[in-house]
Amino acid sequence: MKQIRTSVFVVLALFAITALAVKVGDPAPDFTGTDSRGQSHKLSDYKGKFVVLEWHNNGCPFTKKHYDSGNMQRLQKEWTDKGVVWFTVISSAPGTQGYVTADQENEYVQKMHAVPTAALLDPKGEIGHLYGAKTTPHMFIINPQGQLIYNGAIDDKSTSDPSDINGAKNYVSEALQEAKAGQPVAVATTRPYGCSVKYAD
Amino acid sequence: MNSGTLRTTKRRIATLCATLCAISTAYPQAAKAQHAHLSLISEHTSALPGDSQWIGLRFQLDPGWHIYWSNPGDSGEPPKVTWHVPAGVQAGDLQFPTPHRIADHGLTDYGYEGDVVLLSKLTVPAGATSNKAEIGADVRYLVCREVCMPGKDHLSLSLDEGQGMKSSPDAELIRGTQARLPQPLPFRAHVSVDLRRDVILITLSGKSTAMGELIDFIPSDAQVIDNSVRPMIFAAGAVWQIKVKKSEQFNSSVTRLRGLLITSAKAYNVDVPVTPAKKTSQNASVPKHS
Repeated sequence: MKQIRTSVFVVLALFAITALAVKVGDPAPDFTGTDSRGQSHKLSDYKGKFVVLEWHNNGCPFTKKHYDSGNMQRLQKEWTDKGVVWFTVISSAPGTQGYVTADQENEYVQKMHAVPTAALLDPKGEIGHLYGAKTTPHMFIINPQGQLIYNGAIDDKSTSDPSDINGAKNYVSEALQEAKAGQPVAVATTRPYGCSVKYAD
Repeated sequence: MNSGTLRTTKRRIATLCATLCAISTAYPQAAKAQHAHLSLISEHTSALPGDSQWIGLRFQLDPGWHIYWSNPGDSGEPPKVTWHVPAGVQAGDLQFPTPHRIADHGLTDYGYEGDVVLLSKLTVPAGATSNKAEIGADVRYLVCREVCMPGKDHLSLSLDEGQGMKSSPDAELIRGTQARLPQPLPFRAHVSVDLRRDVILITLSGKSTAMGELIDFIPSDAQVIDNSVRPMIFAAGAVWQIKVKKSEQFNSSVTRLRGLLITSAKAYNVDVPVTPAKKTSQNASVPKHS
């Protein structure tokens, strides 16, 4: 009986921890992050615009799928051209895969022809934990009112195979299209796929 | 010999082979890969007309590295295979043995470490004119430890020995794996599933002692259960109740619960319709502990 009680407490404690993740419909938690050019960005300063958060790790096969194929860059270009703010967020801790210095990230962005609004360096994982970012890529969309409207995968093909990009349903594009047309987002929460975010343990 | 020594010995043999095999083709079915050594194995040495047998995709993984179950959990990706078989011969879907939980930076994945075989049922039509078959497999997989590496291999296997049905040297390994495949629930056992606000309540009645002690429940589909929250298990008489937490992505499109009930003896496949949440705020009645 004692054992059962203990496990009940453990489970309740775990429920409480996992309940912290941000839910669609909730106000997006505010944060201030520094980008690879040394500029500071406060989320709430972008009220009035759609904001995309893209969790990133340049060594992860799932991230590579979308960058080596040019898919992520195409999305960044398309949506920033339409006035969307796009933050690539890097939460890999120093010494782990995907961790980059500001110079390394600038080099990467240039080499890959990536066009996010900015790449936020989050080596302590503060923004990552605030949003409960689980994988790379894990995508979030915030509407002009500062509300979270999408939390999940980039598309519906949860593989690392670039040949799966063609024909995949891109959840981020669909959500942005719907929201910009004043419609509710049909698929607003999905399971993010990819590599685990390499937080400091 | 413990498994560590065995693995070291195997690696020594592999190294020796890498040297010697450079000048011969003694093991054409073996393919090189980083952190994973893949091979294609069979139950029998030939492909007799009308026979069906298990063939296996064997992964021998470096210590600490893992591959994934058909539902990888929070991160990762299961191996995929494209079979190349003679006309008329059929290779069935991959059958995965019971996986275990793997912790990954606060996430929970399902997969395998060490030495694992994924099975496929090979069926040769009764009218086949030959008892020989060349089997090819194009395999894509992800092997992970702290980081993940994608792997790609082409494996081949010749089933061409003898007229009779003869066991191959790998037959025992294949049968051992077959015994680890999840099984259907015993005839008398009945499972029902109820949805509550944040939890899914699984009730199994008609359990027997031969089913062992219930240890875990692992979902076959993504987006149903929060992988990182261990199920709460209650046992009373012939009944088990298991409470699992719904995933953040759980929605009304979920009409069935599919997964594995893992006990100290076996793993059982569960695939049952879910009963929608009742309007009452009453908690699920849990059998009294005696």
